[in-house]
Parts: sequence; C-alpha cells; structure tokens
Amino acid sequence: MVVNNQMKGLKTFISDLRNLKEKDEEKRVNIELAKIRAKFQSSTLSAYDRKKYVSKLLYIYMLGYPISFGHLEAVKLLTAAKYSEKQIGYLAVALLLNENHDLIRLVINSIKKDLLSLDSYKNSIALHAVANFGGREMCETVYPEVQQLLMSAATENIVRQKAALSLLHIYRKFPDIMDPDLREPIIMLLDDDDLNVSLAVSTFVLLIVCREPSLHNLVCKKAIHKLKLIVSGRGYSSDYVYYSVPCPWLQVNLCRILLACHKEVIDDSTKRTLIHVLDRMLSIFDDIKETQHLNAINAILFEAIKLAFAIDDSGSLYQKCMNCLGKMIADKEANVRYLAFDTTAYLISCGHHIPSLKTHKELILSSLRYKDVSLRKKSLELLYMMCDAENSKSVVDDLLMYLPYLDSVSQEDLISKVASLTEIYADDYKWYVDVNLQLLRVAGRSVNDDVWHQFVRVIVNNESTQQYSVRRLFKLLQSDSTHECLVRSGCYLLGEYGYLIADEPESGPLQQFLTVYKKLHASSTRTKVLLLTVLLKLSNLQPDLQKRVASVFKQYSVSLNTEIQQRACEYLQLLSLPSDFLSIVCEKVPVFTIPAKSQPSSFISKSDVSLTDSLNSVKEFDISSSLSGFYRLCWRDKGILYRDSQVQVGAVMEFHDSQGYLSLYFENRQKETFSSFSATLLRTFPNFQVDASFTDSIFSPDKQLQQRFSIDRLDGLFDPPILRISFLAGVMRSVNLLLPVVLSKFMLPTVFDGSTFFQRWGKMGLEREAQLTYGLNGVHSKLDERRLVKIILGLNWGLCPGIDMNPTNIVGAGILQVNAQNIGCLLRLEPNYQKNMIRLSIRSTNTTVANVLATNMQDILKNSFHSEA
Amino acid sequence: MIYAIFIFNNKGKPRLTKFYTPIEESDQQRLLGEIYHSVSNRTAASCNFLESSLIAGKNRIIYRQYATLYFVFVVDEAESELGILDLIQVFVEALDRCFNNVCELDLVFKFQEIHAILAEIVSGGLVLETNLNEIVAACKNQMPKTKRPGGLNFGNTLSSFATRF
Repeated sequence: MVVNNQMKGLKTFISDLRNLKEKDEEKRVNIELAKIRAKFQSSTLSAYDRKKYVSKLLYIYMLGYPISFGHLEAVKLLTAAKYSEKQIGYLAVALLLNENHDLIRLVINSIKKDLLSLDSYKNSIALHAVANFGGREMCETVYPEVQQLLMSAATENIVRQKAALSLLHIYRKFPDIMDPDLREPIIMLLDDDDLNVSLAVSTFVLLIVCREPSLHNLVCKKAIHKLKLIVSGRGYSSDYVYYSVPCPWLQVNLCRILLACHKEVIDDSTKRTLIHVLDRMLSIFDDIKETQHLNAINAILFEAIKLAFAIDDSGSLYQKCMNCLGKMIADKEANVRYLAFDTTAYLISCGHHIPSLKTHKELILSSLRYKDVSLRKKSLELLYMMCDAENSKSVVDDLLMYLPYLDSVSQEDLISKVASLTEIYADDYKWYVDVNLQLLRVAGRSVNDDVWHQFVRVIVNNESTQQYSVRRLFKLLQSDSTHECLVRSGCYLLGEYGYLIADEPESGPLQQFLTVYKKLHASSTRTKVLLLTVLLKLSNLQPDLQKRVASVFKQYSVSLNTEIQQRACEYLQLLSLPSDFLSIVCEKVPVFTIPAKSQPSSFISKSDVSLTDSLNSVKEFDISSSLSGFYRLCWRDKGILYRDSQVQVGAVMEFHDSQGYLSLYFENRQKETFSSFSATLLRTFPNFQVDASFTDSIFSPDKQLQQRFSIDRLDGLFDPPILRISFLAGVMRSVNLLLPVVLSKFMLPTVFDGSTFFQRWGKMGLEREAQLTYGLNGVHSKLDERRLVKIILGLNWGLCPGIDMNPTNIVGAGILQVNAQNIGCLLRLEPNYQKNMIRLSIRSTNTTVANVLATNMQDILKNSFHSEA
Repeated sequence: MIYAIFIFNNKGKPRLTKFYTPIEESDQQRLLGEIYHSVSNRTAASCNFLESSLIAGKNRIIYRQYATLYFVFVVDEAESELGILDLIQVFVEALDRCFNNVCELDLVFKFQEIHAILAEIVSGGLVLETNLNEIVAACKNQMPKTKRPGGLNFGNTLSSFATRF
C-alpha cells in the first residue's frame, strides 16, 4: 500500500529488534545508526535506499532514541519523483524538523511547489504539512496558494477540506497573515453540500466566533440553517451516517458555534426554529443498545442540553433537558455519568438552577468512593458547585463523612474544596473553626500548606475567632499523635493568642510552654524552626517562662542543622536584651492584607472602619508612644510631639481654609551620633505629602533635622497620617508617630447670635447630629473649665456665649471647606464638672463630618485632663 | 484541538506517536511514559477520560483499548469527549479495512502506512474526514495496491474487539 513492499531491509531490522531482549535493543540500534550514517555519506545513494534508511531512522526515532542526522536526506526525499518516497520524506520532516530548523527554507520551497502542482495528492500532502508544523515563515510564503485551493471551485472537495484546516492553522497561529475579508466567504462555506468540507469549516468558524463578535449574526443564521437540515434528515449522503447518526461531529460543532453566539438569537422566528430543532435532537433518546450508536447520540445530546439551557432555560425544552440529565446522571455507564456530572457542573457555573439535582445527591456522593479517579474528581467538583448558602452545611458534613475513606490525592482535593466552602459560606465562626480543625485532625497528611496558611490568616484577621480557636487547638495539641500541619497552625496561633486562654484551667503559661516543648522533639526541621519562634513569643507575653525558654534555646543552639542553630542562637541573644526590645520584635502580627481566596461572608468582614472608631485604634501600627503629644497638638499649633531619652520631635503647623503646612524638627538628645536616621510616612492621604526633607542620614547631637509636609487641598475625609522614624543607636530603634493633622485643623471659627444659631441647629435636625456622652480617661483626671474652653478654642470653634439657657454649657460654630464646599458645623457641649462627664452634640450639614468631629473631639477631651497636665 | 495521538501496547511499547503541537524531543518519551502509566492502571469499568496537565496546561486524555493496543488522544477543551471516542473508532475501522483484520503486527511493520491513514482523518490537530469510505478510498488511491505479506501469523485482530465499546 503506502510503501513499496520491497523494503526488505526495514522489515528484517524490525523483526531483529523484536526478537532481541530489552537490553540488547540499544546495541543493535547503535550498530544500525552507524551503518545508516555511513550510507548517507556515500555519494551514490539511490532514492530507494534513501527512503529505506530514512524509514529505519523513523522507526528508531519512534522507539525513543534521539536522531541527530539524516535531516538533509529527509528533505531530499520531499522532491522525489515517486509518491511513496515523497510521502516518507514528508513524514520524516514532520517528525524530525521543527519550525526553526536550518533546513526549513528548503522544506518551504518544496511545499510551495507541491501546492502549485495540479496533482491533488501532492496538494494534499503539502497542505497536511502546513497544517501540522507551519511556522511563521512557511505560513507567510504559502498563504496565497492555500487560500486559492480552498476558494477555487475547481479544487476537489478532499483537497478543500485540507486547505480549510491549513488555513485555520495559519489563522490560529498568525491571525495577521489572513486577509480579514476572507472570513465571510469562509462562514458561507458552512453551507457547503459536502458535509466534510462543512465539518472542516465548522472548526474554523468556531475560532472566528471566538475572535469576531461582529460576525455572530451571520454565523448564527448559517449554523441554525445547517443544523436544521441535518436534524430533519436532509442534505447529506448516507456515507456520512455514523452508526445511524448523521455526522455527529458536525452536529456537535454546530451546537458549540451556536452556544458561542447564542446572544444573537433574539428575533422570535429564529428562536422558534432553533427551539424546534433542539426539541427534535432531545427527543431521539430512546432505548438504544448498540454502544457506538449510543455514544454518537450522547455526544450530540450533551451539546444540545447546554445550548437549550442557554437559549431558553424555563420553557418547553427545560423539562426534556431535565429528564435527559437525570437519566444520564443515574446511568451505569461510566462515560455517560462522567459527562453528565461535567455538564451539570458547567450548567450551574453558568448560573442555571437545577433543583432536581437534590434527588441525586446520594448518588453523586457515593461516586466519591469509585475506583475510577476521573469520576471521583468530577463528582467532587459537582458537589462543590452544588453548594449554596442553604445546603452548604449539609454538603460539607457529607463530604467530611467521606474524608477518612479516600485516597490521599482525593483527600487533598476534597480538603481544599471544603476549606474554601467553609470560608465562602461561614455564617458563624464556630462552624468555620470546627470544620477546618476537623480537616487538619482527620487528614493532616493530605492537607497542603495553602489550607492551613489560609486558616491562620482568617483567624488572625478576625478577632472574634481567636480565643475560641486557640482553646480548641490547645486541646487538640494535647494528643500525642497530631499531624505536623495541626502542630504548625496550632502552635503558631498559640504564640499569637495563647494569652487569651492563659487564665483558663489547665491552659496556663506553663502548660502552654510544655505543650509546645513536647512537640518540638518529634517535629521536622521546618516545624521545629516555627516552634522556636513560638517559644520566643510565649516568653515575651509571659516573662515567667523566660528561663525555661532560654534553656531550650541553649539546647538547640548546638543543633547540627544550621537553620535551627542560627535561630536558637539569635533568640537566645534577644532574650538577654532589654525586655522592651523583645516586645518590639514580638509585636502582634498585623492583619494580613493578602486578599481572602473568595468573597468573605458576614463574620469574616474586614475590620469595619466605622466612624465611631476612635483615633488611636490604628490596628496595623503601634502608635501609643506618640499619643499624648498628638492629643495636645490637636488643639495647639506648636509643641513637642514626642520625646524620649534619645530623640525629641517638635512640630509647628499652620492651616488656613483647606491648605496647610506641618514642619517637624528632630533633635538628638544623646551625646553620640545616630546613624541611618530615616522618617517615612506609613500612612498618608491624598494631597498630604512631604515637601522637603533632610538629606543626611547621620544624626549628630548638635544638629536639628527638619521635615516639612504640606497639604494643598482637602478633598475628603482622612485618617491622621503616621510617620515612622528609625535610627541606629547601638541597636535599631523605631518609633511610629501619629501626626496631629485632624479635620478640625481646617475649620474656620464662626460666631452666631442666638436666633441664627438655633435656626440652623433646628434646620440640621436630629438626624444630622452626633451625640456622645463620656467620662475622662485616667483616675486623676479633673475636668476644668478654663482648660476646656482653651481646648475648644484650639479646635477652631467660634464660641457663641450667652446663647444656651444653662450658662455652664458651651456653644460654638465653625465652617469647614472640603473639596471646595463649605460645610457648616455647630457644637453644644454640656460639661458636668462634679462627675467629670461630658455630653457632646455636634450637628453639621454633612452627617459624616459631624461624626468624625465628634469622635475626634471625644478622644482629645478624654485624654487632655490628666492632673499633671 | 488534538495535541497528540499515541498508540502503544499493553507493555508500553509505542506503535505510533504524533504531535500536533511542538514538544521537545526529550519530553515526548516522558509524556508517553506518564500517559501509559495513568491509562494502563485503569480498570475496564472506568470511564475513558482523564484530566491532565501534561501538554499546554489543562487538557484531557481520551483513550480506548482494543485487544493489546491503547489508542490515546490528548485534546483541549474544544473537543467533545464522545466525539473523540467516535473518531478513535473510525480510525480503527479504517485500519481494519485497509489491512483486512488489522492487528498489532500490522502497526509494527507498516508504521508509515498508519501515519498515512491517520493523515486522512486528522490534520493539524483537527478532524479532517470522518467518512470511512472516503478515508479508505483516499488511502488506497494514493498508492499501488499491495498484497498482504505472507509468512507472518497474524492473530488477535483488533476488529474482533472493535465492537466491545
């Protein structure tokens, strides 16, 4: 047939190889390769011999041995006169050469010649080569010929099919080569009488539809027309009937094309036609016994169902689809069931509701225990897709029930699915924590790192869960056989939040220490390293433990593992430093900013920045040391913001309307020079920026460093900026400063007479009022009228005396310019000097502004009456 | 599209490998090994599909077993699974007609012809022709008619298994 039978040498060679043992095969192959190489070097090689030896090379190549020569001989065969020789040449070139090979230019020339030939076999074989391995250069060179062969009426159908696929290869890989005007004629070819030209073109159209939405309308009409013809049993020859089904491949492709452009099916008559066609397609599902026939029918059915849902998911087709799907899900044949699961999961992912699925839940669950890994995977996917807020808990319960019986690969899959389900559907944190702990406990071996990392992240970011999860984990850690994932996540959280349960029975600091210590010995290096850090954190929060912890570090400081040794030594050193340094190192982990995998649910909400949050509740940064200076400077324009034994930071401010300046002066209070001094904004807001800054990082005692900030326009509400200063004074030191830039700085004091004030007060109404009643911070604080008035004036309120009936009450007004808009603000403050209480009411034309002003003022007043002040 | 087609026997010996997407030579044999491993371990009751990430990211392995031979197609999302199963059937039936009761030895000794027949069915990774008569005619017309070589004892033909599915 294809190859001349006379290639006896090849047959002998193959027989030889077959009779040899595995280990002798390579020897024989090498002998043969040497022989062929020698033959190729001789100048008198006949075309027949060349074919024979190249064939041998191909066989050797297929067995998996690399072929490093003979490429030129293969290319020479391309131009051979005999078809069988040419054929071997093309086969060899396709297998041995890639598109960047040196010889590819020669190949391209041969292909071009064959495309121009009048012999359809030569055309075919060349087109085949283009479709299989055409690189850019080849595609550019042969494009005109390929296009010519496809469009010309003189071309035989079998060549046109091949030309269509070659052109598709060009359009797929290098869309710029193809003339855009050619797309419409190609779509027209969908109608071709020859079903296989139509089939080849349908693959092409599928790609056009993905790339060119503008052509959807045309494609849609053509595809419906063709599908209707086929389904109604017309327009094809009996040759194209595959086991009683007319060309199932074309039907499948047409359905896929229509699915891609179904949004174009808008006018009623087209829609009716399509529904009618689909109805017929869905009705052929009968008792068919013959496997091939059933296969072909099902191939079409699955596509028809997807399309029917897309076109019309509530109408007459719906029930039919449901029946089909139901039957297929329950089908005993693994292929059908697999595809039914796949299709159903796809439909759910498209947003279709499939209520009858509930009746099959047991069946889908039981598929989790099949031997067939593909089917298990699909059923898990489907269960995952089926989950909604309503049934999430029961599905998760079911999945957990199956967990212990699965192999490790499926377990891993199931665990990550369950973990993400709990995160999506958690409405109470106990459920979330319980389920995740169960995963870690039952199948710790199969839990991958992502799962426990995400669990820790969620716990850290949600304060309400911390105590509960630490308590649960601590209990689980008491068991001797815990998997490392559980040890890691449990101990990590114990290090962070162990103090939350330190007062509970049998979970005091000592027990916590012992629990971690016990796990230390039996753990892997990775875990050990983590546990050492946990011990450091424990000793920071519970100073009583320091001696014990230090002895553990000592023990590990001679570990043979360098990573463990280094940590132990470093931590040991840390313990000997002043305790406030340790507390800086062991600061609580900040909230993770890594986005949660999926949209969090009710309890896992971002720490809600409500306006009643006080100023100093900046969770990410510790700013406590600068707060007293901050409060004072909120109502003063000049003063000391921060001072300790080493540095002092002074501030001078100036604000008018919505502009302002802030200058900071840094002074070194020690006698020695600090190095690496830097000051950077950790938090800022739009338009607030550094104007000018010191350039020298050397901070000598006689020098004052300056930094100037400006804000050129206030265009919204903001949080006070945070500046971090750091320097080397023997050890690295850093302080976070909250800068006294608050909303009231921008206020313009105003004075109203009684009637104007009350008129505006009444107009703003209760709904725009922020009222807070509170006492002072600190036992020794004493509310004092003179200071109170001074602060209120400092906060830029214009006092309106004598308006209030009660003379002790203080009334004031001001105007804020935000985003070029004037916002009026009114204040009424009722102090109770005996009880040290204040009731504060602020009304404003903007409710949010009223809230911000009130909470700021509350913080400032609460903290400004210490007896020593 | 179809990324690759393999035919190998139940011991993992390749009888045909064809790639429609460029794959490094060194990876080709590794791929074959991995596919053989995952396919040959499956029971007869399992479905004929496997998800994998062996070629070009996510793809699917669709296979059928006939007698001692596995026919394996690695395809992307755009192919219908059952459509490919049907195509494998067409391929086997075409081989059967061309070789008159095809068996593994035909594939061994006439591997070039197998490639030629495949070229009539799949081109550039896409389905070209599905009509058996056309395929067989195209193959037979291309070259002079040949006779079956005598002397080899062919048994265990694929066609007797072709109806199993």
